[in-house]
Amino acid sequence: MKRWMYCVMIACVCTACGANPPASFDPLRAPWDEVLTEASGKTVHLAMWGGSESINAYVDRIVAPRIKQTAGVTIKRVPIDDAKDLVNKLLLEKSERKTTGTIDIVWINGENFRTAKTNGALFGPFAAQLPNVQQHVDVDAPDIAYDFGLATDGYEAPWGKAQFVFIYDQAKIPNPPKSMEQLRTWVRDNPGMFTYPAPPDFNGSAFIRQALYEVAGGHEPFLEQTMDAQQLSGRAQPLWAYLNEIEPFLWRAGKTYPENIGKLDMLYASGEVWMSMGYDPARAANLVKNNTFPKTTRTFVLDKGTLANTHYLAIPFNAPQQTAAMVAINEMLSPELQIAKFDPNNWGEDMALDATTFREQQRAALQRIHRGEATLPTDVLAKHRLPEMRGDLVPVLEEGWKNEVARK
Amino acid sequence: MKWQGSSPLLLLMGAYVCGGIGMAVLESVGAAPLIGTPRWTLDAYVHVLTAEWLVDGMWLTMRIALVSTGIAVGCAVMICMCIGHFALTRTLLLIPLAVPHLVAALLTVWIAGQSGWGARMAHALGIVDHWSDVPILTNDTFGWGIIFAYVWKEVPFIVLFWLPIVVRIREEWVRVARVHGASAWRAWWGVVWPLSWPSLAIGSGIVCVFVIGAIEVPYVLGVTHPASLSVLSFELYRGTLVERPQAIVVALCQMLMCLVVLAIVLFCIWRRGQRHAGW
Amino acid sequence: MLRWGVFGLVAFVFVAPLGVLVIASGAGVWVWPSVLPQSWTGGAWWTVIASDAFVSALVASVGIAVAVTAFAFVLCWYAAFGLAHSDARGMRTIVLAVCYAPLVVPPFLPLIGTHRWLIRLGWSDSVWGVIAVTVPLVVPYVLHALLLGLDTISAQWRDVARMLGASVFAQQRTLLAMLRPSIALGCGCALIVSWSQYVVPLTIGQIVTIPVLMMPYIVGGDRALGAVYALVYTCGACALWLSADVLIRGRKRGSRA
Repeated sequence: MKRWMYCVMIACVCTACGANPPASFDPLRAPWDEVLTEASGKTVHLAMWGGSESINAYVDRIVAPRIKQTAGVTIKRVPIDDAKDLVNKLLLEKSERKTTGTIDIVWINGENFRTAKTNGALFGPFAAQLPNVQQHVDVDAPDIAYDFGLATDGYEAPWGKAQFVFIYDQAKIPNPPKSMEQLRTWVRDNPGMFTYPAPPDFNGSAFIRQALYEVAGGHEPFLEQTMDAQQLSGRAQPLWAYLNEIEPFLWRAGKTYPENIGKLDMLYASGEVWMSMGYDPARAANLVKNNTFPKTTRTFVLDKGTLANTHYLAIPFNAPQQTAAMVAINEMLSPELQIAKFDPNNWGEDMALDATTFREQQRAALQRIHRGEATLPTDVLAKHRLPEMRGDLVPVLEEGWKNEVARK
Repeated sequence: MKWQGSSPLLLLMGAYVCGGIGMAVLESVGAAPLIGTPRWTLDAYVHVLTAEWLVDGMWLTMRIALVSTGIAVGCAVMICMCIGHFALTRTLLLIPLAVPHLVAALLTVWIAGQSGWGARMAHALGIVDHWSDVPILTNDTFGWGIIFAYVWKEVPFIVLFWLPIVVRIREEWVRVARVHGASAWRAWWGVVWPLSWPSLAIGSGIVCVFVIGAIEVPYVLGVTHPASLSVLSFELYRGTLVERPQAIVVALCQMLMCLVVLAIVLFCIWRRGQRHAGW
Repeated sequence: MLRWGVFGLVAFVFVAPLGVLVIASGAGVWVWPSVLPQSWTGGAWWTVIASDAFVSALVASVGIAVAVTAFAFVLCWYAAFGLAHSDARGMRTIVLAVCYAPLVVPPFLPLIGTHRWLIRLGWSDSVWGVIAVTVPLVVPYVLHALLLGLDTISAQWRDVARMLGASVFAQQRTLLAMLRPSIALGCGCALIVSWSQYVVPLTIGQIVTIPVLMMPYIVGGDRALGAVYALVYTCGACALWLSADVLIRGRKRGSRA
């Protein structure tokens, strides 16, 4: 009986807390210095994918101490293995009217952002309030204003840019393919040496979109706002034909696909396949650094370009420390932390900021950074960027892949 | 104190089982959606129950569950027959019991994979030339990789579940039987086995039911298609919001399979009770 | 001779594979066909040991496991004590059916529903919520072990005790002592099951435990870190089991199996 009384008591306390917002302070309207004062001394929880040691170390050893020092805000990282779980949790909390959650910042983009934003699970619009967004982010650039085809409207602030690259071993493949057509030839000449993660793995799903752009007549038609699921299924026929054509020459003759990018990397690391891939141009370099991949590992993009996207930081609608979350995000977008993120010794990923707005000294620091052999130079990547298609069409392709390729 | 002592437990478990499953069932019929207004519908049931992949998944799940339980029980019985009191072996078996299933699955890939450690040993010994000559034991269509991993994990469980009973029966009865001139073999099959198999049946029932429900091993060691029910339901759960109710339906199918297995085990034990009553 | 043969076989089949885990935890480049890695590194071990998250996750994992086991034991003890020699066969069947249900139900099914209830109760995102949802998962093991033990003890001893004027409390104390092996078994299982929970602490409680730290590395394919966490996890589970065995059963090996 006591247990029940206890739980009723807690329920009352929590409802009471929920009924009165912590303070009448509105960080979306207050001047920034008041926001800073309000945030100081608070702790924020940052939920992010926890599968990369370099990224975790960047947040724990560089971001957190710096934000503690400059803004007095403590960052606690919560490792998750798919942002989707968190978005579902937020939706559940939204429908159950839980007004005080646990997560203050979430690392997000694409379909997850679409689900969260269109269902009112995010706090904002806050991005325009942040001084570093005002000073250093080109908010009108299409690759920042639109996240997988959906206007961000200030509900998330860009943290970095990623691009799809293929990973290969220079010692085994002197001349990597430069187009999907050449990839087909290469796969046929080297049976068993190529495969891709099974969608809905994020990277496997990116691979089939990448292939779609090239084998179904360029990326432009797929960016049309009028494209719907039916049309997409129709236009995707050449993609299924292409994938089914290479299937017999894939690893294990295409009878199975690696369930996620981790498995593909493992196959590559042990030499069972000769190529891997991924949506982080610096990941190969990081895996070379920690000795998982051979030293001769390199990356390549296709001549017609590869998919690129921006990933963002957002604040849940029920984040307990929304003010401090805004301050922390602002700091994460500071030139210092973004340059540190660009450094391959930390993470090596592209900045979300426009470097032309930097001071002389910062630009010089940027110049000095060498991204390592396995990462392509920034200008090469920049020249080969293709925009992502609309996020709500992605599941259509994933479902199509299951029915047309995997279950055939 | 009578059965009333169990009421707090009953309350908690009842709330967990009925409240939890009830709410999930409500969500599956559209009455408690994650977002939007409730709308009663059986769409998820129609979609899942008419899908071909469900049948394939059920076959695969059944096959894996039965084959791995069967092999595991066989191995466990042999080990129990051989080790008896030997506490050292028993303690040793605790170690694999403590390994998480996901790690067991990963280890299977690392050891039995085509370029895994076993294949490398074979290469070092000159048995194979190239990894492509190594037979495919993981992520294979039959599911041998999954079965290996489960057998490796479940044999210790069954041994530790069953061994104490075997040992007690031996202490109490086998000496008597041996005094009366029964051979060790006869004492085992004539005395220990008839008295102890019901608890072995329960143990293997638990294992079988667990295999039907668990995801880690088929996720890592399975093939893309056909996928086990647990993998299917997990993927639907992580899919779009429309697919969430479908995930629940697949999970209900798993539950149904588990109940069937359990019913069979209980029926066998009950029949034995009947027979004994007749003696 | 036979027992040593079996011992060797068991060690080879069931324990030796973990050696690969040990190698992998320190492996750098490890390409076919080398049996041992081409290069070694202690980086992964160092990363794990040096991180603050590791220590707090360890504390959280052990704390939750112990609390869950304690709650489950108390609940199951009174239930088992009542049920073991009860004449109410029908009631016994109902209780057992409900209590063993978590074994038959795919774990994520009740999770979907209980999460909603916990939010309504205000118990989500707290350690109490995690404990409340984990207890039912371990109850079948604890209850089964206790009933197994109780059933072997003849009902007559209780009549004897009662005739001698022992109070219910004294009866229970005697039983506790007699049932030590069963209690150790049940609690050991409960500790391991609750130690290995991943989804519950993450979604219900937003609590970082060892499996929560481990999972992204294993799924993400970080071989060395995944191996280190797997070893930590395995050793932790063994340690929990052994401490249950030592503390509850007591060190009297061999006298009674």
